[in-house]
Amino acid sequence: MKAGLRQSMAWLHSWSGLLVCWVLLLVFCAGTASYFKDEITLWMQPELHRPAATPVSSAEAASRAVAFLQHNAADSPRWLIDLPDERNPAVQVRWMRPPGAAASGIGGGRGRFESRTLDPATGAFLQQVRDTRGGEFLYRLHFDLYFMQAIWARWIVGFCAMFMLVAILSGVITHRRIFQDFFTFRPRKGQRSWLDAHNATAVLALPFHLMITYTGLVTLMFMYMPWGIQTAYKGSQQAFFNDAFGRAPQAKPSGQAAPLAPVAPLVEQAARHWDGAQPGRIDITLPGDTNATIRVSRGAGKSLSSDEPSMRFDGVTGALVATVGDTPTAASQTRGVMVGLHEAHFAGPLLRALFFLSGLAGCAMVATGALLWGVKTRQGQARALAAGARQSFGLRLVDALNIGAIAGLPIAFAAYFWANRLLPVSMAQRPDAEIHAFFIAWATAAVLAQLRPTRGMWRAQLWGGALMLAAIPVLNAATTDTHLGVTLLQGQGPAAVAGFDLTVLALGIALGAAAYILGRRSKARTPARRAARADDSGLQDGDAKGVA
Amino acid sequence: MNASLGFFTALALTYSGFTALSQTLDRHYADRHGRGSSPCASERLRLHGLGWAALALALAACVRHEGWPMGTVSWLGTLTLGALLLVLLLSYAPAIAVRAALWTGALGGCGLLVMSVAA
Repeated sequence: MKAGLRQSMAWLHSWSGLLVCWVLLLVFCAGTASYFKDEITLWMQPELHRPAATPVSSAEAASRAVAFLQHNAADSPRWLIDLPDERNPAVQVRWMRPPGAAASGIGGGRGRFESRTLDPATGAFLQQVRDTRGGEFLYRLHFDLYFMQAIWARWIVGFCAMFMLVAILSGVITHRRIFQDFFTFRPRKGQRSWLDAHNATAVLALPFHLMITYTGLVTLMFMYMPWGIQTAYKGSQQAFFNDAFGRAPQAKPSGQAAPLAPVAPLVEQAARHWDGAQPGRIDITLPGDTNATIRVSRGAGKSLSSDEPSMRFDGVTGALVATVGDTPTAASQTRGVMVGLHEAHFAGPLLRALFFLSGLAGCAMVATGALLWGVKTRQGQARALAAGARQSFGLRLVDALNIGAIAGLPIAFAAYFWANRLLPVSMAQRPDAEIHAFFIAWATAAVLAQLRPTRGMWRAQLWGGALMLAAIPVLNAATTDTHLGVTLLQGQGPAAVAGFDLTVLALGIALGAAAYILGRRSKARTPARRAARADDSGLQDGDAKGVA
Repeated sequence: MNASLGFFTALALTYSGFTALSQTLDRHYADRHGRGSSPCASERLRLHGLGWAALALALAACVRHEGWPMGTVSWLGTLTLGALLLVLLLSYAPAIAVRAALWTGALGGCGLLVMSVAA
């Protein structure tokens, strides 16, 4: 390439961006939603919206959970207990199925684990709580995708993230007026407006975009770049993890039975050790065996790092074996902080909202970038289009994919939430049915977009997504008694439920505004268009603002 | 100390700081003072000083409130939000944007005072 640096970077920016933008939009949307994973799950389980009558201590909740597991999963080699916190009122227990045991098909257990939601005060299985994967589905979707093996999905997402990093860096280099145009958005100016919107959402949230892309790659670095570990540890990744994260080597069962030590005193001891910070998770291996171990990890929220310190106890005597992660090494601290920044488990409600907003800015950046490619390419073909020629295959394809991704994804998200409220509560395979609603809605939108990638399709799908999202608070009011009238006006019930309702309402209104502006503009230009006999296709360059 | 005081103090300060900085740019200055006008050298210097000072004070508010590690993260977040709000207001109501910055600047100052007295 003989062109200057900026020109070659502009080329790199538009093509590296275009190639991966639709996958990236999915990753960004699902990842942004994951900041409120617990709140989404809570919203999707209205049976849990009643506050617990008496708050229970972590120690008490832990011993009740252990009692449940001893009763229901005595032969399992591993138990995991997630204790309640401010964001999550119930106890979540999971246990590994003993070899040869079949899945029970209830409680949303996946893979090798069974899972149940318990009442923290009584330790009873909350049977009446509807089965759903809640926010966990959206969280997994953003790096495991769906309908394929997680390992392939992670390579695909990693590939896209790498391209995103390239697009961000080349975008910064190619942005000639990054400081002069720092605060600039010129509405109603066609391509200029789209470029302004793309620049504003990209530049103003640049620290977030750079951080989230780079740290996203770091979260899976042991998979993407395993060679150092393979060389140093002679191929045994497990040995490396044991070293790096202070995990005990996998113990073999002795075969001799021994009662498990009571966990409540261990939870209290751990909380004292962490200056009162409450434990978040208990991991018990080989319960009921003489080689049992109990590991108590601190709950999130005390430091930027994602590696929470933990304490390991002997599972029979309850004696402290080791404390892990109190003074992490520089390398593991660096990785922990990077992963922590990505996940933002440390963030309180306000900071979490900022991460969410920055994520939305990322969605808007990807969407406006994808639209810009179409707007520019259409301008290049303007003369031919005006003369009555058909648009090129590439342009039609990109237009259709843009509609399916940008206007179709909100429909899919809304369909997921609608399915959660409308499917019968006691339905078999309920979580799968909700997820299928997501993909059926999205596939319908994407196929319709491929069949007719027109402005009319843009409007129809934007209106569809807008109505479906904005009507969710109404749906919630019709199907539960923790609607906005109660959560907001009377201040009862979880604030997270009110927050969810208000957020989807705001997103619905924003999409509706985009659809309205698009309609008004297409009406305004209809006479001119008839004169030119131009093809009615795709989003034209007059529609600034739009999704941004 | 109220958990949200540091956050809103920082947000008010980043908004007013960015507004001052935006007025050093001819395009946004002309929005308010008429086409073709541009700030004179001394005014530009004053706006630059005010703007950067407000952004630095916002960092101080965040760090005072949450310590260096989380304070820095909060500061970057409030920078993004403050700037996004300003861009929207500047595009549709530039006069209001600048007037609001005077108020948020004053409120941010009060917030800082309360924070330093309370702690």
